[in-house]
Amino acid sequence: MTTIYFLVFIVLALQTVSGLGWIRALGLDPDGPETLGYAWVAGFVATGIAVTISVVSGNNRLWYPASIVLLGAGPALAVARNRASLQPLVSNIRLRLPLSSRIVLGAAIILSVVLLGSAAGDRLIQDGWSLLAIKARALTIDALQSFYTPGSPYLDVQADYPLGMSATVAFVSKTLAIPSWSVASFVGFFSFLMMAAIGGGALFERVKPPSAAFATLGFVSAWGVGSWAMGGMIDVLISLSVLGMAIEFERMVRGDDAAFRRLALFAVLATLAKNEGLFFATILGVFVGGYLLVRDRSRLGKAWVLLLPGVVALIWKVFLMGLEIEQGQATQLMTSPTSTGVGMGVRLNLYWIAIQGLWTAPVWFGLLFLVPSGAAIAGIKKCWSVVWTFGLMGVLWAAFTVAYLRMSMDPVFLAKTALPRLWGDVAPALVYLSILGAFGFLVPADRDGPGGAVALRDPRRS
Amino acid sequence: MNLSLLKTLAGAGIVLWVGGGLSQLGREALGPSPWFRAKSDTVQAVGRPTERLPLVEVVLTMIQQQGGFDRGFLVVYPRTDSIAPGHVRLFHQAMLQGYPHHPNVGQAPSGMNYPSGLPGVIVMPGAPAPDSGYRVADQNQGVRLFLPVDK
Repeated sequence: MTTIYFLVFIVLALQTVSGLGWIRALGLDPDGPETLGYAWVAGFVATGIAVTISVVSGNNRLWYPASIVLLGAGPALAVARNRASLQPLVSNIRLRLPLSSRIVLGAAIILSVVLLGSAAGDRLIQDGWSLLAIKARALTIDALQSFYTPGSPYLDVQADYPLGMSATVAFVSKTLAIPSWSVASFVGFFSFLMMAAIGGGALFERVKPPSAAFATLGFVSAWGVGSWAMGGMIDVLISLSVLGMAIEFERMVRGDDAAFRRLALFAVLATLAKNEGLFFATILGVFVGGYLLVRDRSRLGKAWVLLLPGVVALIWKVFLMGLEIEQGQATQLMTSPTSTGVGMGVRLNLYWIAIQGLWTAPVWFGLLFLVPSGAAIAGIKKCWSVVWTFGLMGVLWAAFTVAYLRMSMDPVFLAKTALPRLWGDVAPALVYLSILGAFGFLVPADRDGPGGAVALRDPRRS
Repeated sequence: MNLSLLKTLAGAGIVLWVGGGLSQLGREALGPSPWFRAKSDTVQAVGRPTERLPLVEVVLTMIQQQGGFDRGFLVVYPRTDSIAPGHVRLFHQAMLQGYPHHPNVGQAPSGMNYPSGLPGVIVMPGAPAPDSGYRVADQNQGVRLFLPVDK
């Protein structure tokens, strides 16, 4: 059993290597310790796109070779463009850390290994994971042909959900010839750890090592998201996407043009993960467009890459429309909540009660102190890039709140099941921003406003 | 606003956040399972996976003993709160085992709005209406398996 999960880990590592090739070839390398997390995201996206295109184009049976081709294309492209050297990666990952930071980081790594060990062999717990796993299973059995044919009996099994996670689970499952449901929890928790790698890694560039190391331990032990990751909710990928959006939007405001492409990477990840992800990616695109129109029109043309998630989503939605699959959540949003007999006042009250319960739960209680303080400090220090990114998070949360309140589902059921996940979607990004606002090194571009020169002080080399 | 006070609050927030996560992990590590197991508040509503799995196996065994998935089963759970998400999890687990051999999805009778998505199986809490046309085929651990009266 242990050998099997070691092999699962190896397959995921190979997917990461492929993603590394893609981000090097396309200039998406963030040049920091978070690179490995970005690489896995790129590998995940490549697999998801390969499977989606295979299914949408009617070449279902080609999903596995298509995945291999697209995963192999990344490193090949990096070699062709003479960007295959691993030296930058090694120098990015190598950190000069004090002993205290090494100990804390070591604790985070040990905890990660223990939790991954727990995820290994775990049975499916929640319906969300089961839905993903059944699609992965269907991919390996008949390439989803029974699923996505007109009149299929499986069209009501949340068939409108994108194929991102199922694609990776199926890829691992088929490569190792093991059942999809026995690897789903492992893959889910692996993606959660990538969130820690990205959040913690990005902080090492902007705060002192002890703070970054402690935050990394915090991300690993963020059980409010981790339990979903292991227990069966794909929302972990939305948390990961929103965190990546926050990191790259803040960098974009500081004047980093490459951040547009990395923003697109996380927006595509969100789009491939879940319908809510497409919602967030859309809001992101609108917010970035609005920000550039108001503050920095000269860079507006560079934001075209943020249309890519829309293209991916459009292809998928048109395919679903051809099958006459009900767009469940879209229908929900179009339905007046009053049609369920529960008025908006009652819904608002239930929402507020549920929010209070969430914010005072042990896993999130600390954020009541951290987030307001971090936002206030960022404002006082005129760290505008962080302030603007807090604004983005606020808009994401507000937009989802409106959508959430309009859903015609039972509001009590939503408060119990949906709201904790929605909060988990944005909480890691808020933690990152708050730590950045409170303890981050100020850089000139932050004070000078958007478009200013970036002179990031790198604590690893200072 | 005093910057050092805000920084202290932010620092306290980080410590509470990390401590809260670790303590939650610790509590769950001390539970019935020897390993860390996922158990959020929502998952808690349907019990630990190690507690529920035998029930899953019982239901699947009952279905298999009655001839497999395609006979139009109705599975009745004892409590409403075990329906969602427990029923979905249960039947998608079953569906994983059966897919794609039984592509006929069961239709819920009138008033039973819980199609399971599982071929040939529907699920509901409580009990079916007396005139629903179902008879008890088997029961175990509070879960009853119904079949149409004509089968």
